[in-house]
Amino acid sequence: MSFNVVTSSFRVVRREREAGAEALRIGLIAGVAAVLFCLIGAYVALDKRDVVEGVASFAAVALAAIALVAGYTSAATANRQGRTPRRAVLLAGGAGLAVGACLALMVLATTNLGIRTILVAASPALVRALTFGTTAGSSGQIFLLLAAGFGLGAIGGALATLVPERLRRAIIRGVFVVIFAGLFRDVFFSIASNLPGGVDRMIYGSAGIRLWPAILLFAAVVAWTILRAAAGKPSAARTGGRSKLSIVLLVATVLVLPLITSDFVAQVAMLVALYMLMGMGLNIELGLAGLVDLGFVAFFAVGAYTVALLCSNGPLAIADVSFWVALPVAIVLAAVSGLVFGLPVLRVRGDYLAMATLGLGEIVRVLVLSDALAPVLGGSQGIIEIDRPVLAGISLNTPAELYYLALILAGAVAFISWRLQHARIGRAWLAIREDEDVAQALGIDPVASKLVAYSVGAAFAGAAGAVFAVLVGSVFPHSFQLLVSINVLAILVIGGLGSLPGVLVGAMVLIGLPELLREFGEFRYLFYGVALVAMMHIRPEGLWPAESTKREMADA
Amino acid sequence: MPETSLPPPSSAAAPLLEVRGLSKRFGGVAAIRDVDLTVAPGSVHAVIGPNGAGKTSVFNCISSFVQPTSGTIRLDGERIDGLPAHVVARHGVARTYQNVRLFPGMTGLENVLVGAHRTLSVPGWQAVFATPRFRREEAAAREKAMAILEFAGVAHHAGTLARHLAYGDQRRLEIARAVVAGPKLLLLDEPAAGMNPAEGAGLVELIRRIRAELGITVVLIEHHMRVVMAIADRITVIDRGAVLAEGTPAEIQADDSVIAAYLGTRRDTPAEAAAEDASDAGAGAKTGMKAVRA
Amino acid sequence: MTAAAISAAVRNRTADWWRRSIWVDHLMLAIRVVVAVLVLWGLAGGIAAGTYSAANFASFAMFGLTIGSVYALIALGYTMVYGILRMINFAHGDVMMVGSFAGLFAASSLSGAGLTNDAPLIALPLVLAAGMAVGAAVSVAIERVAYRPFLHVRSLAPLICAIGLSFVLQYGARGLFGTRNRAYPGFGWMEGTVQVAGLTIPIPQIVAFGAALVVLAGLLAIVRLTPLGKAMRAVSEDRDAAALVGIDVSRTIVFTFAIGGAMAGVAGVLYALVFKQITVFMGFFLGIKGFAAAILGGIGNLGGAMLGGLVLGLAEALGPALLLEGYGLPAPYQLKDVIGYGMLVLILIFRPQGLLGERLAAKRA
Repeated sequence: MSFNVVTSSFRVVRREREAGAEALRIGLIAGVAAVLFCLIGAYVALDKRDVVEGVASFAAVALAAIALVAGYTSAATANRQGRTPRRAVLLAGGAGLAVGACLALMVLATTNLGIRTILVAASPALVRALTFGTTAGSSGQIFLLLAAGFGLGAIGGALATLVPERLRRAIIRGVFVVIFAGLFRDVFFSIASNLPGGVDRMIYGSAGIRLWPAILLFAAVVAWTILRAAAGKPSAARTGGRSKLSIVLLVATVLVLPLITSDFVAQVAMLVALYMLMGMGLNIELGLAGLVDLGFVAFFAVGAYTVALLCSNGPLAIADVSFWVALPVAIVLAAVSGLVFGLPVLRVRGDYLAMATLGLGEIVRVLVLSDALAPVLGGSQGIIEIDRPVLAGISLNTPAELYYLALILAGAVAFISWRLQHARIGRAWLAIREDEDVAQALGIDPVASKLVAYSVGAAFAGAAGAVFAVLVGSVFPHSFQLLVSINVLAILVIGGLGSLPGVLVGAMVLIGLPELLREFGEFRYLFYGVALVAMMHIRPEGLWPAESTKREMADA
Repeated sequence: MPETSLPPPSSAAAPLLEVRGLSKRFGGVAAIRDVDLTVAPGSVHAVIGPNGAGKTSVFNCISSFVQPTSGTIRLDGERIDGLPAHVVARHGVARTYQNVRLFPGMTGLENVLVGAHRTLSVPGWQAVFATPRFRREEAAAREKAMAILEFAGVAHHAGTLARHLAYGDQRRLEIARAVVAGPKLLLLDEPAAGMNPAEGAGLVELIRRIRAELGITVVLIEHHMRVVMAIADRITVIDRGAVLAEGTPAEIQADDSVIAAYLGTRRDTPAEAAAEDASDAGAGAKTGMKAVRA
Repeated sequence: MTAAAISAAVRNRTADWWRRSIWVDHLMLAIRVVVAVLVLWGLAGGIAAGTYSAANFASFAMFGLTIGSVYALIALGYTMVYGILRMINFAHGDVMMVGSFAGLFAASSLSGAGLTNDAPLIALPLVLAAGMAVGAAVSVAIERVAYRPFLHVRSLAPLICAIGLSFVLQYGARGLFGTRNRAYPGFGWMEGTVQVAGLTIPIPQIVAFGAALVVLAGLLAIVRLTPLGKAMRAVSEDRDAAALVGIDVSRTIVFTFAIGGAMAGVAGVLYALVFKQITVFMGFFLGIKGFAAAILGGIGNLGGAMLGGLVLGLAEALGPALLLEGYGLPAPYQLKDVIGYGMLVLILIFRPQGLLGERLAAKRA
């Protein structure tokens, strides 16, 4: 949130210890992280996806990154404390060694103590994957792990101390580009398959990017970065131009993406658009008016069930009208339920509101699931056979067509949000967010303003629910779990509270990426959790901050 | 002795603000007891008293920040006590705060536009379609806001975030935000606190103009005796939650009980105390309190 | 006072309410009336339906008190943290879950040694200790990551960090321990039932209730009698002033989190004792219930948290039979959670300050 009113002069600052102790601390933290990474089953799951075909799996890259970052950070600390580069690299190696030692201990425990009854992921498969296929129980594999840890830590340290800044940036960027290109094989592969001459098969294997294209890509990125840095710093005008350019690029990608890629990617894009729609709804509540709403999914459910009841051929349908009739009804009903639910809870503030709305959302889910309402809503059987929308005689069936439907709605909603934000009601929301008491003393009715925010947000969520119902063709209670609300919240926080482009970026990062990395599926919420925490610590304003926040940064 | 620019308003006119028997208890502690306060329309009325005497509590009751335990408050003859704060604001009561409370993440202009909230009426859906009526109203509101910023002398900060303004400018912006909607009554809570003499003089000038040009009645809490004596038509002295004295500045300066309780016994004449710097006056007040309590 | 005087006073008060009330108050009054009518109607119907005997209700009530004491233990953590930081520890329910799993492992290893079956009175305290230790450790870690870095500003950061940590704990535990239900080993004679006044009561319920009372008493003793308790109360009144008089604020906050986490760990183990099975996702929903209990009692008020927990437990246990039965709904026990969550919303509608609280929920911290 943009306001950080100092409420207390009390502040805790951690004192940095001597470089050696810091390296040990960093190494142990990273080691614990690496062990947890393995023990939650992420290693084995992500080992199935290659970044560079046949050379490095996603899991191996992630584990190596942990050791590299540990080395890099310890070396940077040592550097700051004025240690010689050699000593810094040595300390970095030590930090890496600590990571390796933690993993080695885990391997020993897995093979010798029966910890699998407790920790389900401590399997022989994990040990095999970690020890490069060597036979279990040999002292060689322990040594191998320690050596790999030391080596990676030292490389990280060398990167931090020995390599000149410009080259270091270029290398890091190159590595990231290659990982990106490898991980999102599906997208790039389907784009490349539009090209003639089997280019796609030359670059990509069945699981990741091939080795030589990867090396070429890395070299190209490094060279380009260095050359461009050598050409001098870009002027202020050019950076302004570039941010415009990046918006244009983003919009263009969003528009054509489903056309040039596969149905799978279009399906993912469709989900991203859906979450954008919801994100914009929550953005009114949370981003503008500062209302933490964790029961947001209830309105999504209202929209979806309304369309389901009005457009289904099934036995529960109460009407069989066109989607275009049902959509406004769904939006209005969602807005009305926002008003009804909002009134009791909107008199409380902050954390209280989060919990109260959470309770509301759960009530709706339990009710929908119950036998008591099953004759109307279908209980756990849900409602099936929902008609697809028909536009000018054409039924919108493919993911790409529905994607454009969602995108158009998202565009409309973004426009409405933007207009509201710059009018009397939008200013009232911001004022309430900044200081509710003062806003009220200026004649703003806080409950009324919050109710408007709440029901506008609910209406947008209702629209998303309506699209969701026709996208899936059926609705089930399990689609409306609390997790949906958390997803939307995370999108806003990661993208930047109160920022419309932030919603787009957040939805792409949090919905698009995990969907594209199917192996990632079960770790997605863990990733969300880590991302939320990391974001609050590192970049609280979000990936694409709102104007006012940016202005603030510029002013400061 | 500083002169008052207008003669004291005649008591025959119907009062703008009429507080009767106002009490506020927090738990077992009475913050204010049985306070009466009558403010004539078009006047500048000062409320003075030692720290902790309950002055801000009176303001909080009038603006409905807290609900009084008993007593009535009338504005233009109409009861406003116990109403929600925003309803009180719509009746025409605006205020500033002892510790400036702007919207720190909004610009000067945006702060003032929020202040104009209650004067705008075009519904939100018109904003979505940017109807001519909406655009007219919005343009007029911006013009008015800029004019008020100009009036308060902070027009050059229209685009600056409130948190980056200098302290004196924050005070002025807060006053601009309070008066933009054209209230009947403006409550200023220690507007000159923390200001140097030059800034204080500028503030006196601003308050005079608020009364003269905008026609707003002002009630202010102030410790700077120089400011109080310069602009107040009438003064109410509050001590330990109750009204100690009420009258014109001349009467207050001559009042024995005020001299004893508030201005302190170490001074020869109240006029001298008035000429002292505010910090001295504050210190004097404290010694005075001790003397009375001892 | 004469009847005329009383009616005049009532008329006066009504007129005054009418003068100062706005549309929100009118709508809230309408909602209150509707809710009250619905509840009374359901109650009347439920009693008239006579589906359950008095003995049924008595055993429902016993069960309600047991689960209520678990809620009370969770509620204490919320209330203590709220009291000292004016913030809600969103991940608190998951601390309970982690504590419960720690207890499971302790119990498994003790059961391997045959201790749980032969000497449950020795095993149970050990299991509780494991739950408390891990709960406290996780809670302190949460404080370190989500609260301490943001102590000096007022922002959404702690809330969002805590939501994030809640997910890290849930899905981390899911990866570590798997998604299937885990069964606690049996505790020997504690598995039986006893006959009290014609009622058959499972012993685990009695043990859980008793253990909860003992722990609560211990906590009250700490807060009321020790210097640490005094420091906690001072910090909750005014952090800066407490620091000025030489209280180590940071340490006090850490201890508050640790005690709250330990209580959650106890709750996790006792819950497992009664229900036999635990999952990694139970923390979240029990957490909401615990929170509801905390605000039901009046957040920031330790006695209130206990009362709130018991009231909520009773309402959940008796509600479906008493209230929903009256509406003739099929499978009313499916809607048990609606009563729990509904209490949360109802408190906010009827009495935001809770049963014993004086601080208003609407006041910003």
